[in-house]
Parts: sequence; C-alpha cells; structure tokens
Amino acid sequence: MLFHHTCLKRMKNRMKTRPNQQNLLGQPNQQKQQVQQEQSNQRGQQSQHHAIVVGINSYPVSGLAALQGPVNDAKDFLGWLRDPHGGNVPEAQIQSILSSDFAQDAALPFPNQIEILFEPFITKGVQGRYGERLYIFVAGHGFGDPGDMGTTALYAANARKMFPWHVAITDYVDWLRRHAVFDEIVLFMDCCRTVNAYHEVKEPQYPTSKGRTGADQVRYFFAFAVGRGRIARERRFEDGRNSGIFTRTLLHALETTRPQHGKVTGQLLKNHIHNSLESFAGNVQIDPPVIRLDSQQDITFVHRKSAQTVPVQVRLASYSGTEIFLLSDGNFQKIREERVAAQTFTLELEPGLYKIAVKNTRRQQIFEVPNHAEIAV
Amino acid sequence: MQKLQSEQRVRLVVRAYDRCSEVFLVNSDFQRIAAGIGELEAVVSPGIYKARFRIGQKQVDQLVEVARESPERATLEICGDPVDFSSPVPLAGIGAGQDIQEVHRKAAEKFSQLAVSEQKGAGSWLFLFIREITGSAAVPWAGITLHDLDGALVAEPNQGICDQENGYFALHLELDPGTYRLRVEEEPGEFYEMFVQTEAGWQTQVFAVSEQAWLPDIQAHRAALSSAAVLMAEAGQGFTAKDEVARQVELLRLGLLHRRKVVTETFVADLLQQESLHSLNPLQVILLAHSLAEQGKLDTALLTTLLKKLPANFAEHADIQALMLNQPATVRPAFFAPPMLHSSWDRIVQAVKQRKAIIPPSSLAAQLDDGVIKTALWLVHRPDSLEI
Repeated sequence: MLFHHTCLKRMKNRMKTRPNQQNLLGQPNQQKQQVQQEQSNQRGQQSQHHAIVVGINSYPVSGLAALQGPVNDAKDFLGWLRDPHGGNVPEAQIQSILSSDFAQDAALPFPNQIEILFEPFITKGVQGRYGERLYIFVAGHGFGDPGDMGTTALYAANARKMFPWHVAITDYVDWLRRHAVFDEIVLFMDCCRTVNAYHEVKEPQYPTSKGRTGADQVRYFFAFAVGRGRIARERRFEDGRNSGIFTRTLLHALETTRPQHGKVTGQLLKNHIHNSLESFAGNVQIDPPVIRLDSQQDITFVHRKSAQTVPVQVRLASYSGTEIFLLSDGNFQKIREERVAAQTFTLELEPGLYKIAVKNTRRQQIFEVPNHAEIAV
Repeated sequence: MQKLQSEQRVRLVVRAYDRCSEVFLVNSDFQRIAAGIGELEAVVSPGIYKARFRIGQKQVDQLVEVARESPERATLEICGDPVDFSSPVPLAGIGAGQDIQEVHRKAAEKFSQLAVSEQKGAGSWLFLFIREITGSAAVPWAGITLHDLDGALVAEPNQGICDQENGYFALHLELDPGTYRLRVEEEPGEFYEMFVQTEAGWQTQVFAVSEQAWLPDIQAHRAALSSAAVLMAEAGQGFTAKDEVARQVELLRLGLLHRRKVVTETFVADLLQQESLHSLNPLQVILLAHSLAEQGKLDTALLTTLLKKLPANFAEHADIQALMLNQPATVRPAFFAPPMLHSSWDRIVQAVKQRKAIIPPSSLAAQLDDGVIKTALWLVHRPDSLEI
C-alpha cells in the first residue's frame, strides 16, 4: 500500500518483541488465541471485547515537535484495559503499537503498521459481527480534514509536510460502525485536530460496501481530546510523568466516576470528564474535549458499587482543638460529623459536590471533588 | 409545620456576563439540569449546583449554593464572572495572566488610531494586527502580504510596524473601498488567502495570531487566517479594547466558528429596540444575520428589520447579498468579488446552481473552486501557485 516491501522487512527487523500479540503480519496465533480465550473466560474477562492502542511520540523526519505523552498515555490505557476492575480485556485481544517499540530515530510506525491492526476486523466484518466491543485508543500528532468537520487522522511517525502519511482513524471507525462489526465502539483520540490546508485525510483502502442492517443499533462512545481545529495539550504531571491532559482526565474518570445503579455509563463518564478536566490542566490553557454518544443507547464501561475516592486536604484557618466539622453532600445530606484532630486533615471522598462547615461558626465552604484538592475553612 | 427540604423549591436564575455566552446548570450528580443562552432559569431544591459558562471553546465553572433556609418561592440570582475566552483580538478582560496581552492591547489601539502608514487609495481603511502569544521569538509578520482583487501587491510587512520584541505586527492603510486578498505564504509557492472587504468611511480591522507552521524549522510561525477576527469601526475611531460592540462581534464570530447557538430572539429584539442606536455596527449585523440563518431563525421580516439597522453603503456588501439570495427577489445579484464568510460562499454556490445568482466568468469568484478550505469560518482558499 503506502510503502515498499523492503521497508516492511526492515521494520520487522526493528520491531521489538511484544508478547501475547499478533504475529508480524498482524494476525494473532489462532491456536494460542483459542487457549487464551478459554483462560480469559475462566477468569471472567470480557471475552468479546477487543482493543487497538496506538501511541506515537517521535516524528523524526517531519519537523513536528516530538511529544512526551502519547507512549505513556497508550501504556496507561493498556493498563486500564488489562485491569480486572477496568476494561478487563483478555491480553490476546489487545493489539498495540507504540513508537517506543522501535529505535528512536526509526520514524516508525508507518501507516501500514497501524492499519494492519484493523485488518482482522475489516476482513471478518465484511461477513458479519466480530465481537461485542472494540476500544480504539490513539495518541500522537493528529489533524482534521479541511473539507470534513468530523474526520480526524493520526499522523504516522514518518509523516512529512509533503507526504503527510497518516491513518484515517475516524474513517475506520465509521466503516466498522456501518458494518455493525461490533455492538459497541469506543474511540479515544488524544491528538490535535488542527486543519492544515495541504493535508487531506485519505480514505483507507478497505473494501467498499453499503454496510449492514443493524448499523443504527451500534452503540458508540467517541471522545476527542479537543474540538475541530484545536490543539490537544500534554504536560508533566506531579508524579513526574508526561501525559496528555485528556488521557489523564479520562483514566481518572474511568476509575473514579460515581456509578448509578451500579453502572458507569458513557453519559456519566462524559459528565465526569467535562467536570474534572480543568483540575488536570494545571496552568495549561486547554480546550474542552468533544464527546459524542447516543444517550438512548448508552454503553456501560464498568460495573461497580461505588466510586473510587479522591483525597481532599482540608485546612482550618484557625484551630483550637475543639472544632467539629460537618460534611454534607450536594443535597445537604449530612455525611460526617467529627471532632477535628489537627489543623490540616484529609478526607477521602467520591466525586461530587460537597459542603463542609465548622459547627457553631459561620465558617463553611462548598467544593467539588475532584476539582478542589485543597480547601480552606 | 416546617416544610421538608425535598418539598422546598427555589427559583434559580443564572446570568452570564455576556449575553452570547452559553450557560449550563449541573446538579451534584453532575447531570445537566438546565441550559440557556445569556441566562437560564430553573426551579430547584436546596443543594449545591454548578453553573458553567461557555464561550467558544472556553468554559468556566462556578459553584452555587441554594441554601436550605431559602424562603419558599424565593428567587436566587447568580451573576457569572466573565469568561476568559481565546481571541486574536486583544480585548479588555481576556488573556489574564499574559503580560503581553496588555502590550498588544495598547499597540493595537495606538496604531489603529494613528495616521495611516501608507496611502494606497482613498476613502476606506484597513488595519491589520498580527500577534504572537505563545512567547516564541518567531516574527508574526512572516509571509504576510496584501493584494488587490487582481492579485497585484498592495502592501508587505516592511510598510507596517514590526515589533519582534513584543511579538506584533501592525499595518494601517488607506485604500479604495473594495475587496482585498490577505495572503500568507507558508513556504515558497504555498499560499493561502482570505478576503477582506473595506467600505467607504469605515476602517476594517483584521486580527490574527501567529501559529506554528509545519516547516522543518520548528520556529516558523505564520498568521492563522482561518481563526482571524474581523471588526469594523467608523473612520477615525480605531480599535478600542473596551468597546462592548467589538466584544459582542467577537462573541458572534466565535459562536459561528464553533457552531454554537448563541443568539436568542430576546437578544435580537433587545438589540433592535435600542432607540439610541440609529444603526448597528455592520459586522454585528452581518454576523448576527448569519448566526440566525445557521440556527434556521432568519426569516424575511427579521432580515428586513436587521438591514434597516445597517449603516449606509452596506446593503451591497457581499455577505449581505448572499443572505438575500434566499429571499424572494426579481433581480439576480451579481458577485464580482468573493464574500468574506464561508457560509456566504456556500449560499452563492448553491444559488448559482439554482440560477439565482451570477458569478461573472472572469471574476475571481469564478476561479475559486477546489482551493476553498471548507471548514474555515472565513472564505479561506489556497490559490494555485501558478496563477500567482
């Protein structure tokens, strides 16, 4: 397709070994996969869930600035996918490609190396359904098509100004949705969507067909780090790791969103991301993400009884040792009433809106978790 | 008997600082329970809520407490803080924390009000202000030129104020009224252009920020035309950072750019009823009319009322004429020059197909075709380098 076979051969040689994934032609070892699927069923894993994860930091031939976050983001998302309390996707059904899989100046992966990850789904998808859910996570430099509002592509590591090699991620998603290859498609794109007048998104060379009935029943959750024409941001976080601000927010939301009726749905996740993004941005000026879903056909990301709590540090403006604090939720239902043991203390709270007050005083504060990590009363 | 908290209801009114700002209200489960433009009203139980104000792609949140002690049927009014939205225009009240914003504000005011640096015609004025806000040492004026409709060079950077230390470029010209091509050369032979219309007795102001261009030298920055802002002021007035009309025009542009429905009937009615205003700012009318058209709210009566608020000479403006294409008319309008807005261009293309409009075969408008960047707010196109 886009590059010569010798390049592919060279690429294969450079590729580091990645266990439990596809062979060099991108096809999982069938026998091994079958065994792993049986094992995953025994472990209660999501045997019908699949994932494609791509992270590209370096663009050595492009003139585009190298990024620090995408590979970390992809690894973090892989961690969530593997987590039994997260995506719980069987290892054999997770395909990933990272720029760190190759030598630093290799300008890899090429577009084909990414597109080949979609191949099994397209091949089987022509005939019918493949599975229940497909996660697609991509992070790197991206762009929007000048002529199409929604189309967004990921630049491959060998992209140049005159040869903007890329993968039309949203086109693949549209195809898979149109053919009802999965019941649910989850797309996360942590990349810029700037429009470069010279770069048009080229449609992939998948088979053209009209699609299948049932496409309208495919549930989806499409989350873009930014709106069309906008720039996604990354930064070094307090733990010393560089990450995309959107991915950090997303992963935090996946872990801490408060469930309703035991489910963390797409709508709840979306609300949580929009509500907590600012707290992850730090001093970086960011644009809000664009998240699309059909609330009539929402999907469930995880089942859990309650949300993971977040620490909030409370500091009393003055402290005599006799203070009692009252904590209420957003509906003014009292949650806690305790004597304060120190001027500064930490509360572990689920995401939400709260009010804290010092009993028998006018000292009170309303605050939001997780947006307010420190409050003073 | 004291009412149970769950039975208590309070009327909550949340007002945004700007009437073209979106307002949302979120409950403690982070569910959106109300939305509005400029303001919203909701009847709520006592509790904690979050008001969100959004302009363009920027949003700010404000927590709101509806106290348990609120009297029955009480009204609680909340006024939102201004949203620090992103704009190429160095307006007052935005760009907090950026020291350079104040420098740009003063420079734009000064150079737009000073005598022109070059006289290239008579009767209309163009003020161009390009600024660098990322702190890069790159020059924001690189590759920028102004051309007449036939492509002849009218002005280039050395005719304006180039301040590398403070990261801005200002150019103030007197021109014959007409349409001009503002061009950016990304690299040799790679251009794109937007169209700028000047009118007799008015100064057209174009503001843009420079953005990192994709060149092997990563310090290369070029003016971002697709996100440029255009304002108009009567001759001699220049740019005023605190001008409320300029702020409103910019909010209308951002609404159109991001396809947000930021214009309400009430807002339009209030604007039209301002008796002190004989006419509105022409760009206020143009962007307002296009916003209403995008929202499917522009009928003949409203358009006619809006046009009455246009200053003299503007009825022939290409972006107004483009709106007239959807109205009953006996005369087919002709477009010798392209409009400024992409949405106008779409209307013209559609009308040509339906034989409602004329694009003279030799005009530049006839030459625009594949080079138009469809997702820009302005009619930005990439001319064939061979034609330049």
